[in-house]
Amino acid sequence: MIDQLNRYVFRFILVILFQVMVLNNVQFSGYINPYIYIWYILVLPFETPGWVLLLSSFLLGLGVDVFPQGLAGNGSSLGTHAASSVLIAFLRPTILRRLNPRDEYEPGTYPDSKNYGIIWFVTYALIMIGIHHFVLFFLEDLSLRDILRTFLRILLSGVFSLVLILLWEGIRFRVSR
Amino acid sequence: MQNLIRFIIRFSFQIIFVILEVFALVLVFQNNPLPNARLYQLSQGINSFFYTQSNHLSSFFSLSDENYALVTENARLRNELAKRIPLTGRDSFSTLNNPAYNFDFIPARVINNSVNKQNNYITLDVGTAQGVRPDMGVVGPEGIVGMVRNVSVNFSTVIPVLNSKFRGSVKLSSQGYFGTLTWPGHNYREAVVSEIPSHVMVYPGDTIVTSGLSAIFPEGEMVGYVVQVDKTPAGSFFELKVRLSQDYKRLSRVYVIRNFSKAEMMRLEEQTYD
Repeated sequence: MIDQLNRYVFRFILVILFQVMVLNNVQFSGYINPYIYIWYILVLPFETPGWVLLLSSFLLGLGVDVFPQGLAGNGSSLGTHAASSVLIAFLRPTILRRLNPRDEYEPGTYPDSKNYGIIWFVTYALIMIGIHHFVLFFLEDLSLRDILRTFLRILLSGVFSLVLILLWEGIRFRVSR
Repeated sequence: MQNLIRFIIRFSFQIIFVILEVFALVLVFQNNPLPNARLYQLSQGINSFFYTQSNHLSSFFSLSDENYALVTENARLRNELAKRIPLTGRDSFSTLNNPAYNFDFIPARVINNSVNKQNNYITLDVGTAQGVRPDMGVVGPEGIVGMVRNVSVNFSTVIPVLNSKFRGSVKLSSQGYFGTLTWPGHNYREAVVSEIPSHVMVYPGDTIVTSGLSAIFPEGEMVGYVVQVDKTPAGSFFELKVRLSQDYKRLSRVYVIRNFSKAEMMRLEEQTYD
């Protein structure tokens, strides 16, 4: 139990550091800002208590928020990541229930690609990334003036976030194997 | 109480979510100048939109009245100008000595008014702060209104023609005979001019203007038209029924007349009469 807690705390710190040290400094035009840190929310165990899920997601978003937003700076402001992370954490149980592959999730497993297959995981990740990015970019922009530009940013960044999360999953399997 | 606790436990997930989400959004909106500015812009935009629309609407309804008043006043001013230019154009001395240059008009708004009493009063939104003093004349867009009675810092009361205490020095515009303007009461559109000698040929439709003798009004301010000519019982004077050109029921914008040489004139006259 302590071992598992340590593992999640380590993951928590790792994912924030990777996000703010590496990804926030990688700018492909102004449209692509991948956010890999939500992977942490995606793969928490099924049995995670509600308050842990919400609180850790909030702290995760806040952790990303407090770091300066990379070279471009793109006007991201304190609280936007926290707000969008808490929202997807809140929706996670509902989405998981809807995506139920068979009758029940097997106890003791994680909602990841190793347990439930790559197609299931891509669907799940796309829904979560979509909601997260939608809220995030609209909170950053806070206007409907450049609505097409905002949608383009959501789309491109979402695709890149998904690709990075899948790569991350792949690396994890290689290492753990 | 138990129900409340049960409720909190049952919906703890939702409650925690709402608390955290609200907290995050408060952070977004409080700490950042950009969202604040955007929100401000948005609310300003909505406000000014509605304000502009309602303003358009209300000004549309009063447009014709407003236009009518402006047009008539313009006409009056043009006539005035036409009368004065040949006089001032002659040489520089006549400009300096022209009595019209001793007068100055202070624009004012009527904020209280009545026409249906024996002694009506008008209140204006100008006072000593704007240079108004007792006994100054007041004219409206269509003719004379009355005389300032009392003045406070920002307001003044006026005794209009429609007051039994009002006495005005007027004359027949065509022939220059002087008379006194009073109001018998009853009809707010009609006043009486007395003391016109009975040998003068007066006809209904003749114009009555101010005489300029009292130093309250400049000479030639519009008063009204003769509608009926009556002989007094004694027989040596006419009493003229006059239709007032200014409709006191629609009075909203008036001018208080300041006479710069009045003090000097009064001083001289007092010395003479003593």
